[in-house]
Amino acid sequence: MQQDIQVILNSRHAPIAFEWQGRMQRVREVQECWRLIGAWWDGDGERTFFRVLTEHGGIYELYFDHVDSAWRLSAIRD
Amino acid sequence: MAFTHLHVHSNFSFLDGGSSVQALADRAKAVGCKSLAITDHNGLYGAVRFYEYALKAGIKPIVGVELDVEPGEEMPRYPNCHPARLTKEKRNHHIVLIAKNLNGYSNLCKIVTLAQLSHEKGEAAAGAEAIKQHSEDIFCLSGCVKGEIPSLVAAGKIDEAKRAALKWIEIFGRDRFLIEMQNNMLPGSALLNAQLAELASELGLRIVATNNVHYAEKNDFKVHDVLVCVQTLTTLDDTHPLRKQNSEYYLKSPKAMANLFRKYPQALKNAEWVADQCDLNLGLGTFRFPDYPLPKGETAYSYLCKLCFDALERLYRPITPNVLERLNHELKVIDDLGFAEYFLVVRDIVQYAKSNGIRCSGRGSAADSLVAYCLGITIADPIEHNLLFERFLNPERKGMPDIDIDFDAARRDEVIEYIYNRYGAKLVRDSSIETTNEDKVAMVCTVSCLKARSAIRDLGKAMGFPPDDISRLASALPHIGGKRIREAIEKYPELRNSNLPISRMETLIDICEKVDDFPRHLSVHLCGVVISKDPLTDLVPLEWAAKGVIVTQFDKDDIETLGLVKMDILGLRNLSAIEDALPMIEKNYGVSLDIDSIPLDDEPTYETLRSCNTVGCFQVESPGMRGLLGRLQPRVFEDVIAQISLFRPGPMQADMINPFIARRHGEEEVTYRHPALEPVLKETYGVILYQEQVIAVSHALAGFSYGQSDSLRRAMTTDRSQEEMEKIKKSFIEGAQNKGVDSQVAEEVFSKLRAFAAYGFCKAHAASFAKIAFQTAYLKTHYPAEFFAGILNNEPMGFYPANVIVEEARRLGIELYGMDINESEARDVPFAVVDNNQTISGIRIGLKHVKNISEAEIASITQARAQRPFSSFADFCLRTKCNRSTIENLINCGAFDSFEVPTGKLMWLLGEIANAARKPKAADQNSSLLFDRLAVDDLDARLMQLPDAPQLTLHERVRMDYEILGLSTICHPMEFYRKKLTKARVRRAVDVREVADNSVVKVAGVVVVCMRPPTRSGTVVVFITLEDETGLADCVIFPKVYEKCGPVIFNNPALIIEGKAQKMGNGFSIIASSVRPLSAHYRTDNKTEIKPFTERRRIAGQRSFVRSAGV
Repeated sequence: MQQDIQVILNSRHAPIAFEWQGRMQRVREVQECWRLIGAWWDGDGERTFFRVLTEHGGIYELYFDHVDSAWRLSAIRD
Repeated sequence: MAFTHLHVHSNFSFLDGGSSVQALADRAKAVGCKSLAITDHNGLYGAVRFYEYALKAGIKPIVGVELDVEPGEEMPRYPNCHPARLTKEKRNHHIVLIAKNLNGYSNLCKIVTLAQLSHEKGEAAAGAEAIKQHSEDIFCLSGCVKGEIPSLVAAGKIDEAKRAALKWIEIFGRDRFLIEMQNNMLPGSALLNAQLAELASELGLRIVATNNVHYAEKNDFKVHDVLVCVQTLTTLDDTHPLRKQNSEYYLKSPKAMANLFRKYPQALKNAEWVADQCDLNLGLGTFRFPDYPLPKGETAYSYLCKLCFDALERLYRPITPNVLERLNHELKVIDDLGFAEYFLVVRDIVQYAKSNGIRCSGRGSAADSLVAYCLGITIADPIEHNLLFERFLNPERKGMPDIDIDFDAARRDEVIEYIYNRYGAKLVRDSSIETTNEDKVAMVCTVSCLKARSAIRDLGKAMGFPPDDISRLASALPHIGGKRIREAIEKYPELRNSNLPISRMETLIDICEKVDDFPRHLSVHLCGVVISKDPLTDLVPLEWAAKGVIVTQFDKDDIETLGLVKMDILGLRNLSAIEDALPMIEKNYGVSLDIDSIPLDDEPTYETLRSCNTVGCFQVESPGMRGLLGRLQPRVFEDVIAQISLFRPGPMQADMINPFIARRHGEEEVTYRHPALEPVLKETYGVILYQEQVIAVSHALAGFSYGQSDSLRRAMTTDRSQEEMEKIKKSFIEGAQNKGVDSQVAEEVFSKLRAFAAYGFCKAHAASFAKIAFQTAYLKTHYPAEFFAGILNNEPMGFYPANVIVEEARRLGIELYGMDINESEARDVPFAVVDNNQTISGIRIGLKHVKNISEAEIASITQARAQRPFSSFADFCLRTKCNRSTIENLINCGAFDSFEVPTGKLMWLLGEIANAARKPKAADQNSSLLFDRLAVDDLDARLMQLPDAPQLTLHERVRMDYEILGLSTICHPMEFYRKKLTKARVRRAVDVREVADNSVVKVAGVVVVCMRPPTRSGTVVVFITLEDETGLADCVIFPKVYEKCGPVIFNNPALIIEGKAQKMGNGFSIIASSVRPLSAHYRTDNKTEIKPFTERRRIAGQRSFVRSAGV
């Protein structure tokens, strides 16, 4: 699952809300944040992941791709 | 907020650190840290330079280590797997230890030493007991995720983690054992930290935040990632647990750390608390000389005086007031600086060598000292050669004295053994830990660093480039630093047009530039031995080197910084060659030659030097040196000293050679800028040539003391600001004016001194080397066969490989006898026979030249032969224990030719014997390796039955000789090309010398030297020496031709060079206009077509040899 999404950030650059399937999902809690790097020698860059709990009770994994400055949804966990 | 990084890896974590200690200290300073710890893997390798640099940078240095710890029996990391089957990474735990003060540092040295020496090299791990024994004044952090406690917590084994924590609490107490927390933004970090904080709280322990730093800046991640691939022998496309998953392991600012540890502010405060508790003072600036066992009633000084005055009486008859004054002065300076004991130790070592017949000679500035000469440490007389003591020891600058001594390389280990026995405890691999910690002697390590070639090789492989392409590029690179690869590719045509992908190549070169001079691994320094008064591990951690020798973890510079005495016990193979030649001379001619007392005015020796036939002679055999000999035309020993000093990059770049030679030959007027300079510069015709002269000029012109003058010389040789240099200049000019010297003259002389100081050569060093150079030239002149045998027996040495030495011997008329199974000894043996009232000298090539032959096989051959000579090939096979490939090599290099059986038959029979030997043996048989159950008669009979096999052509035989022996006694390979080359008007090297200056000539030969030394203009000039059957031809290739022919020059073993002959004195070279490969088209394989050459050559007035060479 690799979908581009729109994200609203707080002052620490952490997501506070994101839009998915036409609905705004408000973040209740950032459960964990981590960062991974890809095959940098082939042009891949770093990605910052956030596992967030939304107000609707869904757990989503979003990431920010530092190479193309885009936010994407990578997984949904219930 | 304040924060100190307590867990930091530098590039001294060997391929697991992406930044130098200096870069880390700079970064810490830039992000506002007041202190910084360096904690490399299992060593304090970078501690001394970090300590020094951090203090200068205004950062408080904290020294620590990340240590591998043996798993306790109760808590192995992988309980279901036997430890021996696990890699080191999986078997051991990590902890971080930090020295609180000097005592803590000392304990760290001991723990690290124990961890290193109790395991194989590269497998260091400390036991809890060793840590407990030396735990005083050390902080312990529980470590990264590979730590015992974090890994147990991560595995959900909380109770076991608590038990482990209690074990460390028992060792360090609750005050000095802290639970380490890291947040490298990895999945699971948050949970692990929460659990660790809870565990710490339950046990009443402090938590401490670290970032497990592996590089200074975030951008350095790539460097680290590639280095880890090099370390783990993987490529970037492979996965490996040691590679980091993100780039968060950089030295973060206190603010960034505060952001990561928002939930645990106390962990940040505790890091600062630990840093505040640490206060390490290494006490730099004090000397720690070893104890010398003095005779009763003597002090070091009184005993030194006694030895010196005793020797003075022997060396100078009569003793003049000048000599006496000089000795008293030196002794006073040595006493004032507190170095008497040091001199006695050096003298003791030299004395041991001499009394055991081990040839030795002091080199370097030590020869400036009359005391060193009196003690027998150096061989050049400082009074006779006008050498200045202050160049060696400056009374105004308390620096560690440095006496380097060359020993006969073959017996150098005996000297080192003596030092161990006399000054420290002898260590062997199975020695007990307790003994190890008391030792006072160790070999000094050398830190092998990544340079252009090694970086391209290592990093290119890790980045997945094709190995062959990378190897080709690396081999073609000159020996430069990684930062100059781009420059080299631009400069050298043969490096361009590699087929490697450009964008990836750019990344590779970028990273090579960044890792320039990064430590790659530790090895044994060629000659450095450290001798300490107290147990070494009070200050220096030790470890195993690859050769099974114990080495310090600090290199020679760090050892000196710590004030410890390091001595260079150098092995000089030229001394071994001399030592080898002397008994052979006695055997062949009955002459017991005292080489140290040969006359330094021996005219035949000077003839040899002037003839430029100096291949094999110490220091004067390179093409450049030979060319200079031809121009300088040495006639006295001072000329030899000047010769050795002139052919150096500095004098060459400063264009000192031409004026010196012109004045030496009276072609240019000798002038002095001021009359006061005449006594100082007279010996070098007004040209400043030696460092000692810079000191003497300042003394004579500006009235500086010798000590001040040496300080001035040193100041001029190091980078100084304009302001500092102006200050020095001002004091020089003021001093000169006070002596009535015109200020303009003083200014001019100062400029010359300044320009010269950086590149001048130490006369004392040159004088010591000149003596050995003269000795080798003397031997070559009077006893060439013994001299060449000595050289060949100690190869590799000098400038040329064995084949060039053999060809030189052949050209000088020495008979060369090939390999013979009944005649060849282990080593090359010279002999002399009288035939028709003429002494014919020869050398029989020894078995040691045979490729891959072992010492045991050589012994097996010589022992069997001592019983009786081999009667046949079969007899040899059955009475020796050689393996098949060795016998094949012996067959192919003609060792059995005396049995007059064709080579092909011998090879056939060997095959049959080997097949027979493959059949199962009886258990009790213990005879020959291959040939059990066979009889000589059977094999001889079988040999007769074998069909004739085709014989090798002579060319094939010579090629085999080169492949197997690295040389050929049959003929020079160029003889196969001569017929067609002559038709093509290509001259022999010997004939080229006869042509008129500026004639256009063609010469062909095997490339024996090819180099691109630095030039004054910075352009690339290639110097090539070609060798043919008649001699050497030195060629110079200037940039225009090089630009066209670069790849041809560096990719072909033999060349045809066309150019203009240029003569300078006796010197000769060809200025190339075209270079092409010598193709097989010119070769003739048939031996009957090869024309033998006969040459009469007179060796410097001694003997004449007639030789009908070849085939």
